[in-house]
Amino acid sequence: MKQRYLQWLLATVLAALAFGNAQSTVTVAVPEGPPGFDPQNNNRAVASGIYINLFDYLIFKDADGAFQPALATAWEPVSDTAWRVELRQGVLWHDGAPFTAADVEFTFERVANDPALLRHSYYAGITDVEVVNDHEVIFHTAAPDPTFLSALSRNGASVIPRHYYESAGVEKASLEPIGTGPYKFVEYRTDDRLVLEAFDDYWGGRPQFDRAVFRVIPESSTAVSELVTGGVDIVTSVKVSEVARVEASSSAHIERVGSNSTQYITFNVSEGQVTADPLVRAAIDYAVDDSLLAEVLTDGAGVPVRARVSPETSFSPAGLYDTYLYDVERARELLAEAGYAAGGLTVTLMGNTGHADIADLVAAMLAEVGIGTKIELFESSVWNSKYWQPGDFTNIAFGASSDSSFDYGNSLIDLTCPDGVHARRSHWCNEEYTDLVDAANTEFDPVKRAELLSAATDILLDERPQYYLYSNATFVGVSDRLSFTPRADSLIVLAETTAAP
Amino acid sequence: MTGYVLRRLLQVIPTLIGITLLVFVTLRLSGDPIAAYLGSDAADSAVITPEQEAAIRQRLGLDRPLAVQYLVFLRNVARGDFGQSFIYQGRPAASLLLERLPATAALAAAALVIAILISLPGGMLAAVNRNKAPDTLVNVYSVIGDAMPNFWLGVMLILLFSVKLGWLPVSGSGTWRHLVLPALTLGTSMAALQTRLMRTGLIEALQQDYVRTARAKGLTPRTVLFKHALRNAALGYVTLLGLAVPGLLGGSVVVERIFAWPGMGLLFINGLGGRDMALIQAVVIFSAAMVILANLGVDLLYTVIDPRIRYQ
Amino acid sequence: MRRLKGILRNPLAVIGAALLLAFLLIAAFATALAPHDPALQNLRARLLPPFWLEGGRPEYPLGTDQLGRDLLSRVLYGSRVAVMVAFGATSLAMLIGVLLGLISGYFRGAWDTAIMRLVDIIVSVPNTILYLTILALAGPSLPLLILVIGLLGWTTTARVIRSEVLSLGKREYVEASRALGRREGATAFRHVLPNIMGSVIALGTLKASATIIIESTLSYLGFGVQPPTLTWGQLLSQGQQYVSTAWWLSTFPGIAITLLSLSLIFLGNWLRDVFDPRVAP
Repeated sequence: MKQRYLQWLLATVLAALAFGNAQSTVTVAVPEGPPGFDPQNNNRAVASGIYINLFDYLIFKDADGAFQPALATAWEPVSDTAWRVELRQGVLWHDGAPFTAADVEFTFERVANDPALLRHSYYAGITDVEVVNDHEVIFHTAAPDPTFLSALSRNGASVIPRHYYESAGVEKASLEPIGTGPYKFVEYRTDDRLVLEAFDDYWGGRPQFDRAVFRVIPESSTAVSELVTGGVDIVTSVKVSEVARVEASSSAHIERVGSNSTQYITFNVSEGQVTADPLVRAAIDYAVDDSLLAEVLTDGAGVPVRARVSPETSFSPAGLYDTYLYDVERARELLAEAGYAAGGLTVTLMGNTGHADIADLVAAMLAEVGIGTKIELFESSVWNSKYWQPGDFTNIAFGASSDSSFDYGNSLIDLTCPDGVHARRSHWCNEEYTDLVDAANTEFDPVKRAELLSAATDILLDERPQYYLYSNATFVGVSDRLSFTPRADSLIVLAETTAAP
Repeated sequence: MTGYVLRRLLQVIPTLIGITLLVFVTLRLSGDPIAAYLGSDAADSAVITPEQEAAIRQRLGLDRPLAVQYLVFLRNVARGDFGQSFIYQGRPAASLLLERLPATAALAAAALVIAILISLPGGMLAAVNRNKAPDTLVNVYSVIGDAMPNFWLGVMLILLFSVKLGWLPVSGSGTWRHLVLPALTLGTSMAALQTRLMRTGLIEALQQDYVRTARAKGLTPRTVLFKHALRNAALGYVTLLGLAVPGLLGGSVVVERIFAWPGMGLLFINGLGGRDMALIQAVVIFSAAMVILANLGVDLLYTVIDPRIRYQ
Repeated sequence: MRRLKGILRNPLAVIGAALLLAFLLIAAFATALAPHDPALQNLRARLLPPFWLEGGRPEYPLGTDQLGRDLLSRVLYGSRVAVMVAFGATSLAMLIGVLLGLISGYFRGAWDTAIMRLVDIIVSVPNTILYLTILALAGPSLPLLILVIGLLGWTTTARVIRSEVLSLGKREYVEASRALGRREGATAFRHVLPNIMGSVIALGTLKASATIIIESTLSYLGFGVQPPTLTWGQLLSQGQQYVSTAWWLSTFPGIAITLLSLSLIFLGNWLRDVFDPRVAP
């Protein structure tokens, strides 16, 4: 009797162990949960990073910024305002339904027609998605759009299932998503954990890990504690302050990746602000040592820049990467030219609580050339609404911007007048610049486009509505048992993640 | 009895309306809520046209006059609809809240149990050995428990029990082992106050005439303590447990963040960060309702514990 | 007064009083005491440990932070906000609490009902949640923090004072004073106030200690006083990011918070024992 019991016990334990082996899991700690699973009504980068495992884009940009076929297998312009896209055959949604042109039509017409969706502005130029047959569509745009392919491969481009949205409704579809991605949805306990399961019929081949779990851990030190104790395998954003701790651990390491987020200063250039004078803005540029900022604030991983440029971004002016202006004497001369004696100018530096260190560093650098400073920082949500109100800040605001389309022409839209988000903030309205950017973003000839963008960049360098400091870097904590390559656009691509060799 | 309960419940309504008004007014007067939604640093959006802003405003019901918004809000709350949370893609705030309740309730209950396990014997030990070594020890504990911020304690506990010793998981939820550290963090600080009040209550009780009488009658100190003094002190203690509810709900905000415990506190902080009116209102109103119910519960418990009230 | 002299027999109360005095002096003379400007950076001396550890330097007794700023100076400057918040908010709360408690207990009737209903409203929302909501929405700042805690933290005081007044009201000398036709308000202040002063001070001391913890908690959640104004709560929560690589950054502000709070509790507990007639020493 006793023996039989022991046998049973042994069998159970063995079964449990075998089960444990068979079910391989990768666990990722993210600082915030996805708000839901409607990819078109989201503007959070973390959520977009997660969606890529559930949904596919038509075209996927690889780590080098090259377009790779995903749900689309081929594409070509048919005219200035029309793109023919061939769709992959034999792709299944997670519920087994086939993926067809009707889904693509539904996806892009929905986001193009509903201005209340957060991703609407990326696709507002689409006038019609013409279904040629089940596996071919033609996109018609209002104006010529050379960046159209980027729009199909950026955050928000996830293709969603028409049949599911129409039968279950948006609410259910955004709670229990169905996609074509490498992982299918199992369960989401809001702001706690998202459990995904490998999709056997994935067109790109079944991913190596059977399960993917995203755990929401808002406190960065807690996330790192989980990593070093083996509770999670990947921490997507390790703070600079915790990098040493991960590197000291015996079971995890840090992967550094340049990001396409650029740290900048926005000047309020409206009448009455001391920063309305371009000479003052130039003096500040020369007074601040961008390289030292990057060294101190990003542990040397950031790269000083003079424009919103990163190596992966197409059309970006490579000459303005890894370079900066810093000349204390020149700064003093410019100040004198602007009519300020040493100590005669005081500027206000504003930002959110997270900008405390950068503000202190910049203040010390400005003091060096005789510019006095006043620092005013706000709690994030307060700052967001302050910063959002057109120009509702004094002199100088700190911030960081990224552009998931990885197209330099797209990132310049921020400063076009009047609706560019940064133009609203800085009150900078330059028609010549706006015209150049608009022209560049309807120009198909790459040489001409580069010329137009370069002319627009010259205006920015000259006028400095924003002063770009450095290109940010991301630190990703990775368990030694995995091989995971983080991306500049912070997509968490688990399909390519494997167990360490 | 039923009449009393009903009357008390009716009194709650003006209180709740006062609270909604307070929250609503602060919320709307404090800047544009959709700015936090659209203008966040973590968002990448190149252009927001006035049409798009207007469309979002309309979807969120922010395009109507303030007074109308408030009345609509009150009417909906009366129907159990707290509005849609815009940071959670329009999910109903009420269902988000309900989904989080079990986690917070489990945390609060476990913390309360820990607090009772510490404060009941601790307070008794201190009161019986007044001004002797155990009393001093208990006093020091209760004072340090009061003087140490919860978030500091929580991080220290993680470093000790999870990182150094590896006994317990760092964060998250799922098993009872996940609950230990957050509950310990919340419970030990809560116990500080309760221990002190238990001690005072018991000392007071021990000085009462009937206890002296009981002693004079020659009853053993043990009988005197457990049969007479403790029963008397229990009254104050029960009040205290009722009063612990706001402390538990408030404390859970901090503890849930440290331990990534998916409860109401975490939801609340997200709501604040996104200026999500529906969520903030739902949490505030709901926690107020909990506190009021707890107080009512305590009042009813009195009638069970205190014979003088029962006989009336 | 005689009762207060008993402090010498209570070592904890003596420690509390001495510590509190020390903190007050530090806050008053922080600028003179601090060896460095707390915002002064030394990028060649980042994250130095305290002087007694290897790598520490005597000019930075408690070490430096991520920008090479002197931690001791930052903690010393932080004491000013701690003292300001603790005493500012507490005084405001006590003032309101005593006044409303007196009115409520002495005049009773409609006043009493109105005030106690207001108390009901305020206490039904957990403190942390109430403060967070208002601070987050209105935009946290030092004056607002003091105002919020002061304007909402008076409820316990008002209740205690009210019940004390109710029990005093039955005493003979108050009745006599009334009988002599003294004006109601004058009676309340002449006779009742001195009798409850002890409880008020004891309550206030404990309240001040709680306020310090609240300030640091709000800072931790990001809704406290914003930098560059230095507060201990902020130093502690920022230092928490470095807890395993530079423990001193969170430890010293944490100790400062705990010590100030302890000193107030020691003093407050003793005062309460002295003035609380129920638990006579």
